[in-house]
Amino acid sequence: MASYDFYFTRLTYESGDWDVDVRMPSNVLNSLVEYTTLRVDPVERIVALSDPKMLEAPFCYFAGHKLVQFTAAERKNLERYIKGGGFLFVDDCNHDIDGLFAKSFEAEIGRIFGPKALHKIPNNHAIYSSFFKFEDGPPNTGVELNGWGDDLVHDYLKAVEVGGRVRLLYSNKDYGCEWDYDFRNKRFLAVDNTRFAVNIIQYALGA
Amino acid sequence: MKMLNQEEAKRVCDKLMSLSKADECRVQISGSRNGNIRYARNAVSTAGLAENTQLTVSVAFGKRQGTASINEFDDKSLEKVIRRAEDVARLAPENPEFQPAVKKQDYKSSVTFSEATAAIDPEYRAEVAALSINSARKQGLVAAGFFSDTTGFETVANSNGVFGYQTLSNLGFTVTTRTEDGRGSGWVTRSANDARKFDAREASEIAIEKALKSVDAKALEPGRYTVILEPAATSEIIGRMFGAFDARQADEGRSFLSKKGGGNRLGEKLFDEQVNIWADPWNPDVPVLPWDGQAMLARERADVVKGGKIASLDYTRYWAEKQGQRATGRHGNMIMAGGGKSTEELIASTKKGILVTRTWYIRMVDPQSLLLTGLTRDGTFYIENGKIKHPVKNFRFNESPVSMLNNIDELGKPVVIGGDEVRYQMLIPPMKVRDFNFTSLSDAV
Amino acid sequence: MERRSFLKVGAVAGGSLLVPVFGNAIAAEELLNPMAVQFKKSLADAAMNAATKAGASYCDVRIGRYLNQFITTRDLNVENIVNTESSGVGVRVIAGGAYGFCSTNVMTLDSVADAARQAVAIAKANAKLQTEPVVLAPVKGVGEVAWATPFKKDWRAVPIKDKADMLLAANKAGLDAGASFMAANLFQVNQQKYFASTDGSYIDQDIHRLWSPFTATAVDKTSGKFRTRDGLSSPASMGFEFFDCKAENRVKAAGGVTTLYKGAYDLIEDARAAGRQAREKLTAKTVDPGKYDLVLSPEHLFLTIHESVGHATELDRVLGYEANYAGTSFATLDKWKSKNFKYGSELVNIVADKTTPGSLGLVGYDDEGVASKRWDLIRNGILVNYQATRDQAAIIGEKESQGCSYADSWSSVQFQRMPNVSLEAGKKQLTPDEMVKDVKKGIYILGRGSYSIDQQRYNFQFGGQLYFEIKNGKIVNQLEDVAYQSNTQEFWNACTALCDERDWRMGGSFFDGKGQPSQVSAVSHGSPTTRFNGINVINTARKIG
Repeated sequence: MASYDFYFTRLTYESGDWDVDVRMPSNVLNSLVEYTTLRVDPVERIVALSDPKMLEAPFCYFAGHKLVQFTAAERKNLERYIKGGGFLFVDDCNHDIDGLFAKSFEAEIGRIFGPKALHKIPNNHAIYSSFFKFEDGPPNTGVELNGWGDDLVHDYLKAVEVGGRVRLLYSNKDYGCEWDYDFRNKRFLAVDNTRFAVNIIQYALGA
Repeated sequence: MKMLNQEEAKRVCDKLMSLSKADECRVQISGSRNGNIRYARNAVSTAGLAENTQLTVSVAFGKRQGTASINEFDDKSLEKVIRRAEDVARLAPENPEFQPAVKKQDYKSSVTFSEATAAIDPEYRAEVAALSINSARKQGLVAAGFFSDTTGFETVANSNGVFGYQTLSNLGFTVTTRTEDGRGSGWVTRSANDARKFDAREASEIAIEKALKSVDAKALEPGRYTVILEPAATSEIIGRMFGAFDARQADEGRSFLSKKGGGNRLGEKLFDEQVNIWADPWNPDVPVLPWDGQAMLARERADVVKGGKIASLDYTRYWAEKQGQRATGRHGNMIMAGGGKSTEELIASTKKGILVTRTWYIRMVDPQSLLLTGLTRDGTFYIENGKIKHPVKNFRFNESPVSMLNNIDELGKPVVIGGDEVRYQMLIPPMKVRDFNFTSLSDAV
Repeated sequence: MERRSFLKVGAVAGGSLLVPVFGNAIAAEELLNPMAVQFKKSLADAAMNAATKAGASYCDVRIGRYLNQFITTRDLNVENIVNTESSGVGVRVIAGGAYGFCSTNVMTLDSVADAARQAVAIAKANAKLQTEPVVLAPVKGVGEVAWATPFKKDWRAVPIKDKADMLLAANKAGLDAGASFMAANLFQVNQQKYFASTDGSYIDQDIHRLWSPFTATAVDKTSGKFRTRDGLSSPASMGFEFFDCKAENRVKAAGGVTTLYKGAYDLIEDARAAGRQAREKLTAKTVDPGKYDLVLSPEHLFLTIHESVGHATELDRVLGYEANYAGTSFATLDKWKSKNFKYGSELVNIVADKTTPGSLGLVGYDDEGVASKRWDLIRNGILVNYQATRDQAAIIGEKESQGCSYADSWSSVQFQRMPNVSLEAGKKQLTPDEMVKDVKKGIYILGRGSYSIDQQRYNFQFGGQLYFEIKNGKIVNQLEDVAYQSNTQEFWNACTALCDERDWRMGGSFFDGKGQPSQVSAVSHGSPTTRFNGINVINTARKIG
């Protein structure tokens, strides 16, 4: 760990499909290199949620489309990780209001942290200004606007906070898909759409 | 009116030059016999034959130019057309950008004529239609198609001694086969200048196979995918890009090839280094006339993109003169280098991706970045572990050919493809491209 | 489908030899001599007699003389002036239950009779592959009649110099106002069409249309950015009085963002506005993608109507005759038969017509001799009808054809083409300014921009020329990089408000392409400024490195 300030950890889990957005991590890591002074490990780490090794990660990513049903070990690690000061970014790939992922994941979180733990965060939350400034809260994605899934624009994110800080950030916006492209293609965008990823990670690291 | 042979065409041109009282005179004669057959709902809807020979004369007094044309060739008509052009020229305002007629050109002839194509008759056309209708019907499909063939000649001449004559022929075929319930649709396009290179049965079978395989398409989430683009999926995208290779637009700051601060991007690397594209009027697969009918300049073999770098731009004669460049004839074809692999072999080496067999209704969204939008159509499939898994619903894309040609993984074996809304005859490889940007789904089949 | 290939030929021809698209170039003064009606009648009779004798059960003859004049300019130069003429005869027959067609440009009695016999021979050959015989809906012969586009000033009589001067003045106004480059064109069309059929009609029509599109381009060399603003003119079936723009022809856009036109056009004034607006576009705010309530001006909405309703309700597409090219349609017969297919919200009333004064579809009779009429396509949001020709009318239970047959030349076969398809104005009094007042988060769009729709007319994407952001009932600033993506049925069901009759105007397409080989036609679409709620807007800005 000494030679890095940050490494990207993707969590696998038993019930659903964690293997999504494969190009996203390297694209986000590239943005960290481009915009920040963080020393990053360029290799994505894939760790099981049930593996205690995940507790050491500064940041974890959790995503999928399908039903989420945690095993006892997964549930235990998740609770320890969040309560112990970790940072988990959860992205609903389907962002479908009737979607399995959203319903089942939210139910799991309710079970672990109580029904009210996961709540909307205001659009002026610190996470929207931890690096770049997002005046209107979470930036909209191209993917959620194109008639896929529920065709709704979710103009908020939800979070579980511990001690006044977000420890679990939950999105129905499918940022994972939005950022899922070869990092070399960022140069074709008029505005880099991974900037919010930089905010999330900077916030996770304490900014 | 029968087709003019070279001597007859020359005689008409010489006669016109001698009649002209203007400072200069340019002549173009085009003759063609176009036959076609159209069918839909498994029955022929129209069939026709059109013959026409048209003569166009352009004369100039100083910088005033006038144009007229006619399709009769007796002495009286030739006199009439010259006088009409002269009348229009006298009425026209002076054009400061007027370019005098070109000096004598060296046109090295290309093989644009094929006896086999010229021999196509109504029975041949009816057979093409019957063959494709019957093969479709056998599979319970409904065919709609169009076959057309053209045989003709082109002549250009001017009062500086320019003269060119060449015969040409070509054919084009498209057919769409759909399932009765409208849930599957397949399409194929073929073009050739030599009918011996055309096989209606082979072509129809491809459309049929695509129609049968495309039933029960599943919706896949829009996003950036690795795609295998068949030549019919990229020809209009790439063709539109070459339509924007004009040097003047670039120099004037209103093209994707304009340079920040002024000038153009000639010599800059804009694409992946696997991209090599050139024009060659003498290419045996996509031969075109060795001159550009508008400027009457000789065409040349020219690199357009070499190793991903912009190798040349299109100069009009006026702009070339102004910029101290040499103008050459506008290109008639575009040839893109590829590899040896077939589309099937490109699929076999793909872990996850989408096969796009055709794109449709492509329009420029932003000329600054060459962003184009359009849709997939008539056969779009999901690929997993080297195999076609299942058909997918059609996508709308928003993508620039510039980013597309930067994201090339692999190129296959080039095939001939005629332009629909673009003017080039093309030889284009199937391409495996990363991160192709699909932005929404379409319910259309 | 909108095709630009025709325009391209005009645009690239500058300064060099060209082959006119529509026939032979002729001297201006010859344009005014019409062909004698009695001569046309004798040609038609010769063809019909020959066809009948050869075994045709039906024959129609179209004798056409098509006169066009195109003027192209670039900045302060006239690049080209082209006069074209094309004349000839097309004969269509039914024999053995199948169609046959043949055309000739040799206008002698013998030649047209030959053509008629050839058409019969082709029909008989086609009959072998025919599954069902062609049946034409009845139309009563009208005898010898004439019809002409109403106009005051014949474009053919206006001196070329005056027209060129008008275009150059527009270019100069645009350049003075901020454009780096200007390009203005003038398209003028006169179709002298004589139709005769064995039903006993001899119809002589004289049709006039014109259009003056332009593009203003602004370049910022230091940033390497450029933007264009096209003219907001609509093409019209009128004479040259179209360019005599009076106060009552001017319409103030919502928020006074620009001037719009109804029934006439001030080319120079619009070019001046375009020069300024093209420059302003260089620094306009880039749009945030998201859902917006769209306020669409008729100058923009006409093309969305054209693509998503006009083409979708063409009966030949619905039946599959265009399957290989333009495509089919989602508006299938079962949806129509159900009498409850919600094409749009209850506010949506869309009518087809070929009768509106000034519209491009305006004619007395179609190319099958059917008198022009007006009918509903969508009433209170429900799909109620299609566009049909004589051979299609029975399929949709109509006793008569709706008069939608058209051929773009004497040499091409007539087939089903779109009439004017227009959105009716709202019944409640509402101005565009009042409409904007109710919008919390929206975009006001004017002018036709990029357009693309799938082959069954579900998924579309449109851009415009001018975009303005609406926040809490006010137009706050200009926007750029806007395109909206939607689905035809969702879009029309999201229609929540229409301005009233006072705001109803037409836009039009001069070169609408369809068929194989492709034919062009001209068609208008009227609408008021209309609101659509919650439409997906994407940002189209990209970089190419």
